[in-house]
Amino acid sequence: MRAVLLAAAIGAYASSPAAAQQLASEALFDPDLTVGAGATISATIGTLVAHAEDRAIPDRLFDEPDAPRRTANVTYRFLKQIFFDAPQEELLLVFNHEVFGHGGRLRERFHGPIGYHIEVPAPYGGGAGSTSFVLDREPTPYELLAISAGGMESTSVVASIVAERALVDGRMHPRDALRYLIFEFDTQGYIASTDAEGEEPGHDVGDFLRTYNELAASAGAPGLTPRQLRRESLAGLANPVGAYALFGIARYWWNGATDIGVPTLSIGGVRYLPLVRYRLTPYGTEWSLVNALGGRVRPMDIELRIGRSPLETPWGIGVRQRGVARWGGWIVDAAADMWRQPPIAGTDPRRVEFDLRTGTRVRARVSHPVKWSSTYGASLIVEVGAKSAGYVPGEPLRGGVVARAGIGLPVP
Amino acid sequence: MAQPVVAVVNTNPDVVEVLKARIESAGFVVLVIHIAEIRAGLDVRAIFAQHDPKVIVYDVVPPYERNWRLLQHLRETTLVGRQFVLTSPNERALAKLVGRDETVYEILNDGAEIDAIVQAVREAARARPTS
Repeated sequence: MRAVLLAAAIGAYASSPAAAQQLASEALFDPDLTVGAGATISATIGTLVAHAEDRAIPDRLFDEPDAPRRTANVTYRFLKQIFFDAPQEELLLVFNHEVFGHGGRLRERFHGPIGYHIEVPAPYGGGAGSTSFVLDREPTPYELLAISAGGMESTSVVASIVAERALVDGRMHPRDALRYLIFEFDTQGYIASTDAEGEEPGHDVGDFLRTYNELAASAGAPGLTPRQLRRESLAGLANPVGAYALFGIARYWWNGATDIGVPTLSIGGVRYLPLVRYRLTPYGTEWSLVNALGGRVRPMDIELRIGRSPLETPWGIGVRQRGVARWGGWIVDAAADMWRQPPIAGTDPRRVEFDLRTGTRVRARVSHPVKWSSTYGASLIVEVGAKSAGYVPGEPLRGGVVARAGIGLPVP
Repeated sequence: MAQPVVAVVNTNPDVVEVLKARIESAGFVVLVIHIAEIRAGLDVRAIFAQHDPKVIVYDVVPPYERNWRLLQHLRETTLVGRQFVLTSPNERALAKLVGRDETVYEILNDGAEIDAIVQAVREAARARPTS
């Protein structure tokens, strides 16, 4: 009887949409190495490095029969995360922020030379990064905003990849939790570091505010202050995944537990977890409510976006679902978005308009497993989408076809 | 006698084309410079020394403060004393920065306001350089 129940339980689990969907760590490439493609590469680098470290570096130095040894282990884990793990994640963040964030928007829009300066992370170096560039034409204000916000946009996209994986798996590793916190709250940290005068040129948030306020002034609209941004960005703290990550890291320091649960609400067998993101965008600012669903339904999220541009209130809705169809080993994921935004994708700085336009995006991603030995395998991924001109995090601003290809690595 | 040179500093090829044609037909030689070239490090001093334009038709585009700052920098460094005719796609937006001492000619991408600009170029070309 026990065997029958066990078999039934395994069968039910294996046939459930959530269990059927084992998320690989995906690295996608496109011709411009855009923000979205770059974020997948950074997320995969982070996952692979953490995985390799887990195999090589222990989580405890001693067995723990007594308090001194336990204290030594707690101290070891704390120091390991602060002085070994966190600098690696900071380096990855700065690399991603500069090369795939600012660099992604620059490559996508312009043809001039781009240079990067990335310092050794703290506490071993300054930890700063910068992107220098020469543009082959004069940018529009919306393009300047996209470049300034591109770094924070890219880190937010990496965070969303980490969060999606955690939600689908129902758990995360302390190292993923650390990466999540550092990447997810990059925008809040950057905004918090902006003083009342808006900082010197080269500070992303300061540059963003200057450009936005100039744009708003030319439209006769009110501008934004650093204080206003700081207050509004607190909405991004309404994020249970961030709370789980924080708790999981503290617990890991305390007892070495490497499995951080990601509990969700459960409604009729459907797992549900909402979280809020605050973004700087090419037209202004934006609040996003991401509703992640799983369990009885295939992993999906429904995102509601509402923003602020100089004269209007842009909005958008997006739906992304994993495994919408399967045939012959192929798995199809799909996404669709619709929005109303100012026309941000123009290239003529003399023609800056503020009224809202409707835009849409549809995207299909197909993946197929390949095995190159009895032990090792991966999946090939091809992603094709079509979109109108407009802002979707990670996607090119222009309208047209967006094609990406890459691999998915099964990382446990 | 050589025809006087007018420099057109702009961002938009359509506007440049219209301005160039109309200013040339008024008897000037037109030197075209794109603002992105200046930001990219074009040796403006050398080019202006070579061509010695009598008037610079300079277009200030959004974001206005950023581009106004560039123009101010040029006026205080490499283009000291030159005669300018300022254009913009939004005269009212730029007027807040420029003040009342200077006229801004609004020029849209269809070039509808060209006559006034050509007239301003003629008058500026007759004016003596300021220092």
